[in-house]
Amino acid sequence: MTNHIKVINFPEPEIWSFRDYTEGGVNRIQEWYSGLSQEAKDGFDALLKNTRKIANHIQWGGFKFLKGEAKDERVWQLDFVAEKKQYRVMGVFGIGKKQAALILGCYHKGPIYTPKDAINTACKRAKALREGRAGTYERQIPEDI
Amino acid sequence: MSDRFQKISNLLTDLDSRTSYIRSKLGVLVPSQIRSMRLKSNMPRQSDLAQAAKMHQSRISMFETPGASNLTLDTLSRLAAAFRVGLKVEFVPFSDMLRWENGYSQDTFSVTKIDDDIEFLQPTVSTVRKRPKRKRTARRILSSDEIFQTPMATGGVGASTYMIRVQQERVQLRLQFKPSESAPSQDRLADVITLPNRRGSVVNDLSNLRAAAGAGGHYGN
Repeated sequence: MTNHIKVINFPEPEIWSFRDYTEGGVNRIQEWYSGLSQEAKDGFDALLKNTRKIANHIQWGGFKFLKGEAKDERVWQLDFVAEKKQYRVMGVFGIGKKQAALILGCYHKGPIYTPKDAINTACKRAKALREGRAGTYERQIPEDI
Repeated sequence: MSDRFQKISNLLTDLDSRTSYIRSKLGVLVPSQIRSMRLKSNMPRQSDLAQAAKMHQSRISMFETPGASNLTLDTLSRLAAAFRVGLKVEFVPFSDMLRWENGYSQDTFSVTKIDDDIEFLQPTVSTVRKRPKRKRTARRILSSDEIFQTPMATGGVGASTYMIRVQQERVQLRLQFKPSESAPSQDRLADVITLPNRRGSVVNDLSNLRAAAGAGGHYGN
């Protein structure tokens, strides 16, 4: 007799949910967000609000998978600009449908990321998430503002 | 204090906060529309759109990056022309802007091209909006309306004559007021005074006029 594993196939959610990377009880994305200027905060909020409604991540504005060492961890980044600064939000996709974890925020000028070890840190965080050494916390995106 | 309350407070009091808020929404929604139209068009590559709009591909890439470009009306017009659609830029209340943002979806965004825009190409009686008849609305006398005494002689009632310089652009205005009960002698004053031009016309009694204005007197066009 075959032992069938019964899985409930939940319908795909209409919108993406973004989850903030947390380690040791610290929400690293919120920590980065708190230090942004008002304009950058507004830009980031508007970006997530729009992006979560786009089903195919390839069509997200400013989206690309990173190359080099980040490629193995399937780390991607979202670009947005505020106050003429080029911001980058790095993330990885989760196992759940339409779930993504934001693992690091930084900015970028020419070939230089600030903080300098941004890509390396993103890779470490992606690995920590994969191995269960870090967690995520669902990011709230309000619709009333 | 909640984040929303703080945000609203900033928007109410600070110009930079309002600018930042508006710019952030436009900085995401406009590039998203460009990307959406490009992906659904017959020029899905940025280089195709660049060629159609007579621009460099790197500019298209920048236009599609959230917040990266301060798109001018000229650039937007050219992009709209390349997509063969129209463009509307409109000042709206903040609530409208929020509703637009919440209702917008890059996946479902779609604009009829001029080639398929039957309503534009073959307008029928039902689709051409008739010019609505102006509703006659009563307006209060404004503080900016200038009332001054003039030596101009008239054939009206009373010794004094006054001019009204109405700060409206209507050629003809009618002033209506009800004479107060305390001034029965003024009943003979015309209830409706027609101002033949912007400079106004002669009104016979200033105090009555002021009383009328203060007690619900109004004029309409």
